[in-house]
Amino acid sequence: MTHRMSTYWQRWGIFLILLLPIALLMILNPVFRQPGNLFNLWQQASIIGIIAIGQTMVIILGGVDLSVGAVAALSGVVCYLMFGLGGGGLAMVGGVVAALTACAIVGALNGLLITVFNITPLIATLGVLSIVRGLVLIVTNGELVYAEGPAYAFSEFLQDSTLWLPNAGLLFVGLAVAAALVLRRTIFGQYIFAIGGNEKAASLAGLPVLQVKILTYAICSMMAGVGGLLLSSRTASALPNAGISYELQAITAAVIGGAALGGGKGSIFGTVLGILLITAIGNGLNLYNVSPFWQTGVTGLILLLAVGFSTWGNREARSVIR
Amino acid sequence: MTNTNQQQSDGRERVLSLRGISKNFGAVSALTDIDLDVHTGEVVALVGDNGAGKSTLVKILAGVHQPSSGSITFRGNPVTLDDPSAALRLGIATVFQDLALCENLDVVANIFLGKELSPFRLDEVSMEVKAWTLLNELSARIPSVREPVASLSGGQRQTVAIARSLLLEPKLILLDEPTAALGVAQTAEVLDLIERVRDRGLGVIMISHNMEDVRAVADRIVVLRLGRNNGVFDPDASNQELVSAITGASNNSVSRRASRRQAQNVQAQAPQGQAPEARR
Repeated sequence: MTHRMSTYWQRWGIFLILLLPIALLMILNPVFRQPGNLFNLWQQASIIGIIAIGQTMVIILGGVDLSVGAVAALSGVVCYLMFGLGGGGLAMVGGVVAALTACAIVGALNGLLITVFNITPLIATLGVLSIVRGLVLIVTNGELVYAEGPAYAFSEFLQDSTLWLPNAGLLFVGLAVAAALVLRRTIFGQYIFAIGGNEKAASLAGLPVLQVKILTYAICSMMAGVGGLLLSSRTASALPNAGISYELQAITAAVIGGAALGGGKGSIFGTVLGILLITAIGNGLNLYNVSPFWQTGVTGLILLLAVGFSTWGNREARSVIR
Repeated sequence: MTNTNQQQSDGRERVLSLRGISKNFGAVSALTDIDLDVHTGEVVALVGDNGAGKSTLVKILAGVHQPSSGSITFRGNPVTLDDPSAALRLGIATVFQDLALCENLDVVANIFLGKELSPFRLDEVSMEVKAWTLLNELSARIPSVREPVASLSGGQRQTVAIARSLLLEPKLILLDEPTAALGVAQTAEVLDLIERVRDRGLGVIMISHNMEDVRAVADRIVVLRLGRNNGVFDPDASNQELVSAITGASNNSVSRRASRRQAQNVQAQAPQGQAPEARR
C-alpha cells in the first residue's frame, strides 16, 4: 500500500467501517430513514456533540477532560436551582448564566491543576470529576431538581423548532461552526495546535501557554455546561447523576474525527461526523431493541478501533519520514 | 593563533562584547571569566569539548540563564538578559539544537509563531507573502510554505528555524549545532544559509563539533576549555593547534598524525641515493 493510500485509510478508514452498518440500516430498516427519526437523531447528537466540541479542543491541546459528564450534571442542577428561586424571564437568564459560570470555574480549576500544579490531565480531571459529582449529590441530596414556570419555558424553547429544524440541533451546528472558526482562523486556535504539537517549542516562542491551557479547559467545561442544559431541558428537570459515561462518547467522537490523543491534531468537522456516526449506530441498536448495556460496549469498541487506526497511521507516517 | 578578540574587526561595528562572564550552578563552576567579541557580518564559531561551557554561554546570551558575574555589552550598551523575550527584544535570536519547531504546523505558522501579524485573527495571506519573501531572500529550498514541518528534511527544518529567527530583524543570531545529524547535502545547504545570514550584516555565533563546517563558514574560532577561554584562532589554523586547544593535550592522535606526515614529507624530500638509516 502506498504512503498516500495508507494516509487516506488512516484518516477515513474508521468512517468507512462505521458507515457500513449505517448504510445497512438505511437499506434494511425503513423506520431508521424516516425524517422523524433522523430529526430525533440530530437532536440526540446535539447534547454529546456540544460536549465533544469542547473535548476536541482539549485533546488538540494535548490534554483530556474526564470531568465533562459531571460538569454537565452540575450545569443542569445549578440552572434548575436558580429557576426554583422564581422571577420569570430574569430567572431563566440568571439560571443559564449561573450554570455556565459554575462550569467555567470548574474548567479553570482543571486548567490550574494541570498547569500550575503540574498534575497530568488524566488525574486532575478524574479528581475534579469525583469532586463535582460528589458536590452535586450533596447539594441535591441525590434527588431530582425541578422547577415550575421558567423551567418549562426554557425546556420548551430548547426542545422547539425553527423552520422545522430543532433548536438544539441549530445550537449544536452554530457552536460547531464557531469552534471551527476559532481553531482555524484565530491566533488562539493556532496556539492550541502549537501547544498540543510541541509545548516546549510553543513556550520558547513566547506563547502564553498557561493562559491558553486554562482558557481551553474553561471553554471545554462551558461546552459541557451547554450540553448539560440541553440534557436537562429534555425532561424539564435536572438529574444529579446525569452525564455518566459522556466523557467516553465525547473522546470517542473526537478520536473518530481524527484527533490525536497526543495532541496537535484534530478538527471540529471530524468530531461532528464522529458524533453523528456514534449516535446513528446507537439509534440503530435501539430500533432493534438491543440493550443499552451493549451500546456502551459498542462505544468502547469504536474508541479502540479509532485509536488503533490513529496509532497505526502515525507509525506508518514515521517510517516513511525515517 | 590570533588575538582578534579585543579589536575592531575591519572597522565593523562590535555587536556583542562579553567581559569576565562567569556562571556557577551551586558549587559547580560552568563558566569562568569568559571574554568574547562579535562584530556585524561575522561568523564566530564556538568550539570545545563536551562540558566546555558552550551551551551554557549560548543560554546566557539567549536569556535562559543569567550570569553569576561579568558584563554583557550589546551594540555599545550594557545590558541584562533576564529572560528569552528580553534577548529577542534587544535583537538576539537563538536557534536551539532541537530547533523548537511545532511539527504539526505548517512552515508559515512556525515562522510566525508568537509573532503573528494581527492581534486576534490570523492574517494568512500577509503571513504567507512575508514568509515566501524571507525564504526567497535566503534562497531556501522549501517546496511549499503550507507544508507541515513534519514532512520536511532536516536541512529544510533548520532553514525554517533560521528564517523564523530572522523575522524580528535581529542583530545577532546564535546557532546551536546547526549541522548536527544532517547529511552532506543538507549540511551544505545550511552552511550556505549561514553565509547568507552573515552577508546580511548580522553577527553569528555558531556552536559546532564539526571542524570542517567551522572552517567552511567561520571568520574566527573561539575555543572554550573547562569553562574558560582557551584561544582565538583564524579558520586556517592547523588541526593540531585546534585540537590541542580543545583537549588541552599537545600529544594526541591528531598531533601524532601530523608528526608522521611531516616525517614522511622529509623522507620523500631526502636524496634517493642516501642510506635508509639516514632517511629514517
